[in-house]
Amino acid sequence: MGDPQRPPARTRRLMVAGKPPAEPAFTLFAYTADMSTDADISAEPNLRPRDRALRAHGLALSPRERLVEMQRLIDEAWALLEKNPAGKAHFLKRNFKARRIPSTQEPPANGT
Amino acid sequence: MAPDLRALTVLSQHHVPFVVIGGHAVNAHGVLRATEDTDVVWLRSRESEGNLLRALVAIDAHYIGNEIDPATGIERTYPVTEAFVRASRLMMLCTSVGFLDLFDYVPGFPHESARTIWESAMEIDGLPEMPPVSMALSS
Repeated sequence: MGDPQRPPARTRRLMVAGKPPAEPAFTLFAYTADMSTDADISAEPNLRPRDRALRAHGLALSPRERLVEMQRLIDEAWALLEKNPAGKAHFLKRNFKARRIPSTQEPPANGT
Repeated sequence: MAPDLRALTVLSQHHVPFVVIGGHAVNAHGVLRATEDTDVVWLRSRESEGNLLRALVAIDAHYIGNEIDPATGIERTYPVTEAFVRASRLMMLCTSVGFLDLFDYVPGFPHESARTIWESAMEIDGLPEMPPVSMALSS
């Protein structure tokens, strides 16, 4: 049994000259109604103009030009993967895992 | 730069009736983004099953099993067969021209005729080495 008069370990660490601090060394932080929360801190307002600009850019192109632009994005993504062997391995592993079917059974009749 | 549509070209060359959905269709309709695979809805018939099998063999299509190959650390793959094409409503394949997903139904509407997607598809021509391709927006 420990000494019942002995202050708890946390208080002992905060003691100054053998005495506990007069004021709590810290306070628990709590949200109040007038404080902002994560729900208020959103990138959404900043993303909307960007999305509008991208959408306008896409609609200004012909369908074929849009597919060319898609190919540019795909090529850039692949170039990044080629520079990062671990990332490429993860990409392949994730895709294979998502696409696998039981090889010991008949293929699924209704999809996976 | 030309878009890499080799998977679609092979399907066209083998007279498989299909509509493109997924990332390619989304891009064609104006939302620009990268995509990892090619998604296609095809019309199943006895004739198109044979044509599709020949197209898939031409691009070395394999389906992915769930056994891990110790040599690679990823799942083993198996070449598509006639029985596989006949039995699978959804084929998620790796091919020599990338990942290819083939549906014989409209995703999200498995009980409706795949023909319904032709109604919402837009035809795109001017693509290299292939006739006009229909691309539809789908879930």
